[in-house]
Amino acid sequence: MVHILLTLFLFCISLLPAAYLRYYPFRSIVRPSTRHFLLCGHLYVFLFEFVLLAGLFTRGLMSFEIGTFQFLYYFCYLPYLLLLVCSIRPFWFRHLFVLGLQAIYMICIHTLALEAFKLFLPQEWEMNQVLSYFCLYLGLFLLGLPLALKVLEKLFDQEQLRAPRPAFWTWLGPIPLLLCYYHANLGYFILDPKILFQPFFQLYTLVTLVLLLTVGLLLVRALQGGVRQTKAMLQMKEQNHRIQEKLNTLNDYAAALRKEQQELAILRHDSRHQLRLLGELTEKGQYEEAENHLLRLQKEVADK
Amino acid sequence: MMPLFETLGVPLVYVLILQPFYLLQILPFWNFLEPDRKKFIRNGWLLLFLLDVGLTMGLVRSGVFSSIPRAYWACGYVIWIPQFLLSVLTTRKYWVGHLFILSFRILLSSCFYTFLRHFFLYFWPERAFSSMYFWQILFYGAECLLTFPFVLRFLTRTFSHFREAAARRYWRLTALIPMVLAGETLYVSVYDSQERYFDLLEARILLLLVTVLIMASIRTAQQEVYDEISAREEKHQLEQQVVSAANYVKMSKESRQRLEAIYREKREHLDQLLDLVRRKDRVGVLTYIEELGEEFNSTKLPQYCRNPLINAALTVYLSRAREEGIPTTVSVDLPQDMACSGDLSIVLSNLVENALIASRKQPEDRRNITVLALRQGGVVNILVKNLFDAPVPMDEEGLPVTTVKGHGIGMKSLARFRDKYGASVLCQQKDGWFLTYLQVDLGAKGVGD
Repeated sequence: MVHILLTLFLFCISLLPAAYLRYYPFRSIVRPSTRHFLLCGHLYVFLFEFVLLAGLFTRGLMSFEIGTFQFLYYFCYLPYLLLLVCSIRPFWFRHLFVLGLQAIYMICIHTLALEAFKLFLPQEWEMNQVLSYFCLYLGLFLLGLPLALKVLEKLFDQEQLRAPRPAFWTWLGPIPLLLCYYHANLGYFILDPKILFQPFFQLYTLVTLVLLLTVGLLLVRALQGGVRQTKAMLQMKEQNHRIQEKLNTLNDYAAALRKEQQELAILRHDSRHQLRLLGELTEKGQYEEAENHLLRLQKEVADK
Repeated sequence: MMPLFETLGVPLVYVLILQPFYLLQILPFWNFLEPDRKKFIRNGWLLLFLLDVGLTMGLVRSGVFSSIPRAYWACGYVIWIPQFLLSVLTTRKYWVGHLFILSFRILLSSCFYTFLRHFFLYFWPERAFSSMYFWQILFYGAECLLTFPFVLRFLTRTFSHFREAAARRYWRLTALIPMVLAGETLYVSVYDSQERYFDLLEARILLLLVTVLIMASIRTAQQEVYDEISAREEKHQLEQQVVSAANYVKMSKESRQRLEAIYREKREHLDQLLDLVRRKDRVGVLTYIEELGEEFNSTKLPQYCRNPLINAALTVYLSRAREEGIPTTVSVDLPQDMACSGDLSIVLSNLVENALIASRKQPEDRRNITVLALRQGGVVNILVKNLFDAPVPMDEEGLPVTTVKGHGIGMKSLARFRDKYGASVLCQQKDGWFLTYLQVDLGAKGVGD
């Protein structure tokens, strides 16, 4: 009985670091009151699940074996997720994306823990003693947590979360989670242990794990690139707006100057006409008329 | 099945059915290829097709494999390689693109094979799976043919602006994801295509969904790249307009100041002239009048054509060229009101700016810029040329390309103008001149919209 409860306790505890990972990228926009609400909510969910599962296991309604816990992992995270999604909204696609990344991390840790479990505790593996498995899993999860937090910490900032959602989220958001389901659906965890111990399968496990992690990291980097690109585009549009305003002001001024240029053109034309007249009089040797003309112009200048 | 059909017909159908997906490797780049290369690829493809048929026939009948279906399965892993290599070698600079296409082919082919397998096992559970191999080939072909138009459309769009898109981190990294997934899928397929260990159906349905989402996300990313390029082009155009307007303001002010100076000295000029007239100094008077005329001329703003927008655009860079001592020849006869004046002024401004930048790289005695523009009937003909000795690389569309960051927007603006107004553009380098010839039919669709 104590063994069951202890194992169950560790199982329920193992869901909490994953829940924290899902919350972590959104922490910058969470108000203290929401944080408090989330803390209490998580505690209630934890207690509820623990009591419910303890009842089911102790009454024999659920068989106490590895497969059952694998099955429970598909569902027991949902109340935590719903609590988070409903408290920090509306970021559906981003929650989905973070959930996918967290699931990739979780799958990796589970696979590593399983491999270590098979390798170092083969007897317990064959006897379905999952208590040590959960200890191993939790230890590895917490060991890798700083790295996972580092990957997730710069995923969003306040500005990004408050800005309009870039279009690519709709398509990119569900990809990591779908990839996790893709891997889970290969049925790796329910294979015959005899096959699982084959060296080619160990290699397969390692390769797919590395590839899944690579895809996860590529998605994070792609996302950061996408957000930067969107930000740069918005900045450029703002710059364009400012340039447009500057251009409008300049154009208004240029229009005024164009009008002035027309007046100057008339003035220039008149002056040229005077000069041409003077030139013609000089050419013809009519100096007296030229002098009179110049005197008239002098008088006009003096009168002005 | 008749023996003759089994020997000749099935390998032929098999190789034929694989062709649409093989063609995905080259069709997205088809428009970029020169006619000679297209011909070479066509002939090469035909030859490889015949070789594939021969090889498949040989392998199937050789008895190397334990069964005929197994031989076809093995052929599927090999016979795509020659066409792939032909495509890569003929469009070498798109080698990353080829890997990208190959990834999608692997992902889709793996999904299709799993669907095929489950379909036949579900509907004909009592028959041996391998005995239905001919129908399986047809089923697989139908799957490929159904998806072919969509995938081709996606890839053609993806590679239409590959150069710009590939420079963006988001696009680059998202495009890597199918490659990684394809590696993983191929690995699973080689190990377990007969599903001895795993039940792949649900996993492959999810994989197909992931593939479609990745395609959509790459498409969206590319749309955002185009938006960014448009914003950058708009910025460049606005900056050019600001330069034009600022230049006009500066020149107007200078013109006014010069004219004001002449009028301030009007009394002195009149005194001088009066003195010369009284002395009956004919030559002196005429020389003085000529000098004053020159001074008046210097107050006039340059007037290249009656169209104010085009005139402003030309003024900026041609004035700079003159200030830098670059000989210019300008003859522009365009109407005052023209439907595409705004866009044309930007294009002209870009072309003259490019000519100015290129001229700066030339020795001083090998510089010249010529701008000719003429409207004949409903057609506007424009020629901008400048002396330029270094070779100018051209892209697939015959427009010059540059590797200098921040440059090259002018040519994109020219391409956009060409596409918008259905204009003809010809860029060429001939006898030490770089020429850009532009022809726009003002009556054509799009002009004046």
